[in-house]
Amino acid sequence: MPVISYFFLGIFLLILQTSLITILPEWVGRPDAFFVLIVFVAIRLKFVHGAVLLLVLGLIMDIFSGIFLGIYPITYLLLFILLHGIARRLAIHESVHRIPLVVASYLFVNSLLYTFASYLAPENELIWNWKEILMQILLLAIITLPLFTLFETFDAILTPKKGAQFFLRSKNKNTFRD
Amino acid sequence: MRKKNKKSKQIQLFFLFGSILTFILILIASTVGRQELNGPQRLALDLIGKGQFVFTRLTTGVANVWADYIALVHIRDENKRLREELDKFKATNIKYREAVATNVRLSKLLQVKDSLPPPTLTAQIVGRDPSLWFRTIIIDRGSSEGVEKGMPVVTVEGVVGQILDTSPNYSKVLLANDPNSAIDVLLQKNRVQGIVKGNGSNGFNLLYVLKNADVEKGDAIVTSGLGDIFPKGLPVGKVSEVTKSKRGMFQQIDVEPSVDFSQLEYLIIIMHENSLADQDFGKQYH
Repeated sequence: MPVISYFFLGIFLLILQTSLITILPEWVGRPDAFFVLIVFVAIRLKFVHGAVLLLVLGLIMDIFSGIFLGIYPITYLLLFILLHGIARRLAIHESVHRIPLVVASYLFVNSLLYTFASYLAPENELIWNWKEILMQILLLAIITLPLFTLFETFDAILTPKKGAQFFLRSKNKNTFRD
Repeated sequence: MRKKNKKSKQIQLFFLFGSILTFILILIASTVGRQELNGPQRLALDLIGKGQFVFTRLTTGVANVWADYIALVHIRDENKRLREELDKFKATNIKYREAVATNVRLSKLLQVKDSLPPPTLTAQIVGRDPSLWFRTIIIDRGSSEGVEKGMPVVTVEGVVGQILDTSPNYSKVLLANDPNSAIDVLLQKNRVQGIVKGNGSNGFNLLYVLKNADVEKGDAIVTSGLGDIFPKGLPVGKVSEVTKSKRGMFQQIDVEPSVDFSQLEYLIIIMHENSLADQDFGKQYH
């Protein structure tokens, strides 16, 4: 059930991303809320659930973006495996790590997309535009924490047990003790 | 003794009133028939005028305060009502402006549509590619209306791109400024051919133009009609910069698109791939 809810949330954010947000003037930038959800799903859901959901969202992203089918599912799956692997060793669930985590994930995903697109059409030179990427990173840094809070509330509503933990959790819990 | 004193007082009073009366009579007599005030009259006017002035100011002030107070009782309601009316008129004004702007855009589109080889189909953009690496858009026309992969998409200003994929009701368009887009073009002035490729941002590069070709800034670039995708003669852009490096056979030419890709709204899909030039030729000689 949570997977389906996340799927519909992803579709909603993708529609928002491709329609309403693109109307914003370029100097304002286009905050990528869909990508923040991708990272949230990658670190929050269980392996099978998360992998399937990101593959499906990647397939849908292929429809709305780019010309090479398949590069988004592969990229999201690689991101998922990477984040899941890191999550076992590092405390990336902590709120202080969220912004660097999302920014690093964004750079990773765009590096992969750039590499795949360059490999699939080597005759068409892509330009790595640092100005646009830094602008996106800045916007992601701004929207990450509010969106993570929103997604956590959404997660708490979807899973009542987690919800109870979320609302009743102790403030100064030492997560490294567990 | 008392009687004597009383009599003298009466005489004094008599003289006093007599003098005043005489003075007044003289004053009246002196003013009869004149149009100008005399000295005492001027003095009186001045003094009384001052009084009038002060009194009038006071009265007016009190009247104004009263009027203001009365007005304030109703002013809030009136202000609220006027603000509501202003908001309503502003909203109406925005709607009218938008309607006029849409009308202008659609009129231009209709003119272009009439000049293009039939059949054509008008479409509206419903979505844009969110990624940094690709330039595609989604339009509200699909295969159920005859839209097929490869069909050219244009607008009033010129070439926009071509259909990449279709579903029954929607299609994906590869914009001409995508690095994966390539269009056969020619320089309008001397018919030199080349290929325009998107540079990933809001511009094109004109490739495969030999160094000996005469290319200058501002030269118009149009579709060549080769490849049977775009009709011949559609505007693509203008040369914005020409660089001739020492190495290589070709010139490096930057092109400013005739279409502003950030302002796209309504588009025309050319469903039939006839050449505009051929059509003109046909009209002239048949």
